[in-house]
Amino acid sequence: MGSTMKRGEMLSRVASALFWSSRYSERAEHTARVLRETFRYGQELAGLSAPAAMAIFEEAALLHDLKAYSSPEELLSQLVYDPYLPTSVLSCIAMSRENARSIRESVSSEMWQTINVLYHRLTNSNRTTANAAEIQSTLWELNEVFHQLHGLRDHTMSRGEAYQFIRLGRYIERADLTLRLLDHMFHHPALVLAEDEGLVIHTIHLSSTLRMCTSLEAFSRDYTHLTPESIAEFLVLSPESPRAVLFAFDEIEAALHSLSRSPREVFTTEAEQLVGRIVGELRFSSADELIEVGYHETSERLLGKLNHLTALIALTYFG
Amino acid sequence: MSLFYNYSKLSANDEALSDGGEVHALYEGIATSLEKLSPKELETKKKAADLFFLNRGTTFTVYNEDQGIDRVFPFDPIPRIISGTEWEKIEFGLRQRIFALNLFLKDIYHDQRILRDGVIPVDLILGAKHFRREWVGVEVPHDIYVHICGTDLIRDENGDMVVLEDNLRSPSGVSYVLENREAMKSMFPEFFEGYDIRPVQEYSYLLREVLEFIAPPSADDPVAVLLSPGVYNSAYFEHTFLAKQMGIRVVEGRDLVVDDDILYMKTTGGLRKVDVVYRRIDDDFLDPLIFRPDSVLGVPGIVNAYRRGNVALANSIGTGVADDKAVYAYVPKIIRYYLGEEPLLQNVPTIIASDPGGVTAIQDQIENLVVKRVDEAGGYGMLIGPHSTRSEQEEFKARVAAEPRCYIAQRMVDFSTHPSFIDGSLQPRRVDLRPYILFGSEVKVLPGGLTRVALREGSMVVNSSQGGGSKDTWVLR
Repeated sequence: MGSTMKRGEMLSRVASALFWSSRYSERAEHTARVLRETFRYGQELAGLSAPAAMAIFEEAALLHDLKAYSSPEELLSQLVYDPYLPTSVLSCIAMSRENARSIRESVSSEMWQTINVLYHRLTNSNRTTANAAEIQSTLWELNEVFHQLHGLRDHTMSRGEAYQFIRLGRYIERADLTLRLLDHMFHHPALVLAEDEGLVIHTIHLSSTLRMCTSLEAFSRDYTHLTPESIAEFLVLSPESPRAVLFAFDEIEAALHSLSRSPREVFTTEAEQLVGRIVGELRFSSADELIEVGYHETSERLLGKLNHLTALIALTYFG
Repeated sequence: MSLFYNYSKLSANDEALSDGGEVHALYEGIATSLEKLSPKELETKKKAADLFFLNRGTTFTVYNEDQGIDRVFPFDPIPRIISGTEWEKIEFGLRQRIFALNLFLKDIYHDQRILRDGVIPVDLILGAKHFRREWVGVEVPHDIYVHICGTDLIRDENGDMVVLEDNLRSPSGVSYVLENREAMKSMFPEFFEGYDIRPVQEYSYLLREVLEFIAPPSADDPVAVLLSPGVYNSAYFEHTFLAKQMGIRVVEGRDLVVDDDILYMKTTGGLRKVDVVYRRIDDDFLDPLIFRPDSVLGVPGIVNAYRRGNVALANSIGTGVADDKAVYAYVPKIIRYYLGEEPLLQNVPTIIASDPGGVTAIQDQIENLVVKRVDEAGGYGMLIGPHSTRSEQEEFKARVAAEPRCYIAQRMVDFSTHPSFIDGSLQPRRVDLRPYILFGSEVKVLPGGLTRVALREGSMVVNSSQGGGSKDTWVLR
């Protein structure tokens, strides 16, 4: 029977669900990791400057639109477990699972089961009694499950269309999250608050930023000085670091060309044209330029392009 | 000490006990395996089985205040065992039944001989809720209407397997047959020792063959899909499960489009022709142009594409008329009429309210009868006379009098029980059996089926919507 998956024959709805499941999974992983490092950083800062430490938690709450919390532990617990907070780790996992559920026949059983187990594990946790240590251990556990998911994806899925839509979702989300995180950390009020007390916290601040992107070790191998410029160079302009924005755009471009079966030298869709331009621009940019224009402006401009890119992909494939 | 030590009969027959009340020879192996397990160990293993289902997502979803909750279909680890000899009888009976029902459907959608010969009252058929006038005179591939059938059987007081109802539209539950076996093999491998059990795994291959068989001859490499109402349907797990096993895609109405009487699915590479649809949505929702205009689950134009022979549907349209509970009462006559044979599987004797004297017959002895609506399923819209209050009985008397065409009544069968593991001990619980029958180039009956258990003490209702569970079913060689 001719039911075997041929190229260019995936249901548009399935393609869209794969894309979004992948984005939410990437977002859940990122959020869990950032929370883990935020908490650790906040505790570290508390010994130096109480106002700066407080700012770390307050900013995290603000980012998630969370108004009331009584302690850093409670804040963390809400950001991990709150099913009604759309940006909580649990909500992201639920969205990823819900998307995967609608296309269970298209992802490998192993992947589905892993995300399903994760979802039940989090919904069954008793978050009212969770203490800092428990939440930290949950976050580490999550970290491992996500690594497991990456392994399963790479070792159980053939590199057909389904894989490419997952790849697109993952790297679009990663570029988006990295750009936003750097913007947030480069202009963090904690830096100013510490300065008011005569403290320089740039080193721990920037190293925490790198940790949030699992990039501290890789960065330290290539750079000796922790500066916003060097971090921007590494996390935005590196074609080699898997966490970098340029690397992500490279992957997006490769996935798009794999879907359209066209060489990367030419474009056949508007999405390919746009991503080709972004890759070209980033390849020939320098970190000094990025910072000179103002990182915030650069980041905003790239995020705008990412949104446009998502819209073009939806138009081409999900219609 | 085996858990069977304290187990005793509740109803006329228990599947695991012989007439004298000792463990039946078929169940001696299980009894021996249970001797090696303490109730506590069995409880732990049962919990592990529940987790097995939850993790695999073998669940149905209950929606409550827009929060989806995944529920595991309760699983009882004590398997139901059917001997090879008994199974042979059941299988022959089921084959006979599906042949006859299929001839019946062909007849009432064409010449209606059975009505003209006065074997069945005309009104009963033409007035049936699921009779589709739109489908009269339409040819279907190979004259097969019912490709997938699930027939519910119970064992009566005499020890005979009798038919409770046929499910000829889109019977569900087969995924649990396959998953229950997987769970048993993973969690209770020691139970299998000494038993020669027929496998059930081939179901999805057989179903795939059926779909391939009914494809339009013009399609040399036919594309089949499973049409599902979507992720909010309680049987959604089963849809993805079967599709995955068959290697076909699950589609929803919004993924399909009909152009010039050809059915297409919307893919990332444009439109792609579809040749066979295993549909898991009812006629009513299938095509808003023909049936319910407010349906958003279906595909406008799909019925005409089918009529033109450009796509095949399994099951066909209008099959629900033959599983109407009033028509059910006529199945023995239907078998005699078309096949000239005596039915091998008996019905439960049924009073049709719309027959002459039917209403009075039901009203007079309602406290002893089970009264059912003819077009309802899932244990809804029924009264179990002996378990009902006087006012419930009065209410049903009035309902039957008001709408005789909508009601039938059956005597209450004291159907068989089966040991089930409940609260640390074995307790007798009522069971039914739903075997699955496939009709393609030939008729195949899956050896086994879904054994459903009424888990609540004393309950006679096995439906999952009414607190029922299920267990693995072993047909021996």
